[in-house]
Amino acid sequence: MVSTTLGLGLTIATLAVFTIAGLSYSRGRVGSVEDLLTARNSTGTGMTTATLIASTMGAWILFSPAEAGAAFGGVTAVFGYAIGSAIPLLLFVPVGKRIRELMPTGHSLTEFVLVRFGPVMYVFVLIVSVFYMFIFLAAEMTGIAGALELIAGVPAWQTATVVGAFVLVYTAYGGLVASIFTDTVQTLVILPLLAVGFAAAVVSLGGTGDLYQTAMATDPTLLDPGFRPGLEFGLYVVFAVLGANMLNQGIWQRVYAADSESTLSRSFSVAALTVIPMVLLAGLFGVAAAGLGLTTPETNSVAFFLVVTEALPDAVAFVVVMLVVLLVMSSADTMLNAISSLITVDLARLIDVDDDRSLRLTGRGLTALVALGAVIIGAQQYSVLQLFLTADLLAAAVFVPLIWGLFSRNLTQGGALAASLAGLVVGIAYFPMLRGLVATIPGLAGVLPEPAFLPAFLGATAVSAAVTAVASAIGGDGFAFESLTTEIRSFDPPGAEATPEDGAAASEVSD
Amino acid sequence: MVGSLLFGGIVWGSIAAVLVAFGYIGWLLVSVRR
Repeated sequence: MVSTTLGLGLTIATLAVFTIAGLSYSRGRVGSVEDLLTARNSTGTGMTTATLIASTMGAWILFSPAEAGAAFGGVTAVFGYAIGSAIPLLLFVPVGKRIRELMPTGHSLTEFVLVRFGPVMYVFVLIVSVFYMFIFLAAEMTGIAGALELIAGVPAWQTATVVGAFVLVYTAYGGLVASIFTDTVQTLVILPLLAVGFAAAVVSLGGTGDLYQTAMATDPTLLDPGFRPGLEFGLYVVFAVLGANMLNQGIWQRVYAADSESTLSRSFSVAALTVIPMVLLAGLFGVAAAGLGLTTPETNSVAFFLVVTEALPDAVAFVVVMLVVLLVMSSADTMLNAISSLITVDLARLIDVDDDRSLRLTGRGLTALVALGAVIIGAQQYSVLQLFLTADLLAAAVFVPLIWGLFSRNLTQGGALAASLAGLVVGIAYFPMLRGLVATIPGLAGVLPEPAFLPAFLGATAVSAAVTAVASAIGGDGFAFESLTTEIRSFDPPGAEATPEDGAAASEVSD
Repeated sequence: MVGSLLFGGIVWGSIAAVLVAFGYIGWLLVSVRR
């Protein structure tokens, strides 16, 4: 176990270095609310790829895939998680290109929903999207607080407060520009750290041959590629992750930040290929933990850290502390900026905050509020798994009509709502976590099907897709996609150059 | 034996893939700056 002082010291040092880097880089580059929230057409392939990896790969990769490997179906579940993490990024290639083509001065998916479908669907999607991202953020805070408590004995409230405060400082000041820059550097540190740390861990544990033999002796199903629970988990996690990512404003911001469509295609594809081995490695630690007999049903969620604290030397644990801090920083800044971006963009439309300075202040104020909420929840050490899965279920039921509406003129708001609600009804009927709540509704307890995650996620998505297809076939008036370009505009006045706060010229993020 | 080799291949292959991704992204960043 790493000492508390050393663990906290390393955490603060890492946070400080990247906060200073984010502040320095964004100084003079955030000239308008557009720079703060969109960084439109400013990042090349390298930066876009790096920021996508950093944003989507949070500390959760050290928890959930390992838990899946230890408790939900061994290597098969881990493979499902890895593939499931890559698919949404690949889907963003055609979908991202389409939204850039339809609304070149847009900012978010919710903006599209408002104009394409109407206010009811918009409010529905906004709530699901903000709920999912806030849960993501709170889960990251909870994750790092729990990890440092386990590895170095740092009290959870200290970790959550310190991480939240540092990330808030550079995100509120530098917005998306700071987030993308720090993401890039963080990815360049995370990838080798992950590879070297894992290689050292494998060697310390006696090599892959020993690990394999131990796991086979403990529980052969851990390594059985045909293990049914593992296959089922691998399948439903694809739908859970897909829907959630489609409603992740952090990824939509990066769709707009890419400097061209070819950058978008290449970056999302490379990021998709990169996250597969990252999730695989983290998940295999769960298999190793279960194989070594370190896990119990109560400790499956920290399987990765059990291996680190109980079977590895302090030097590797030291590397893991730094890795966790970087993983959390890189996704927490993305979520913070994404949530404040969504709310700020919508606020500009709903209330009379039309000058750039007020919008910028509002955006920064909201960022601080969201950070405070996430820190408070993170310090409580709640189990966020239930909330995470609930947010995933909502997203799985909602995302199909949204994507369909990008390509079809005939889907109406009524059709999209009907599809989402139908998907939700089916999903909730099967969803184990909401079973107790739903069963309290008079008359329902006796007719509910056997609860299981696979039919819940698969059913939510499939039914939503089927109703979407029927509603689209029945058809509406035929939406005029051309209206998106006139109704959704940049916050910058036409032809106006924004005036940077620090007097320097507003510029591109990089490359 | 085959299973053990396969498991080793997945672990070390993943580690290698992460390093290749690191190299590629680094190259992308450096090559555009030139």
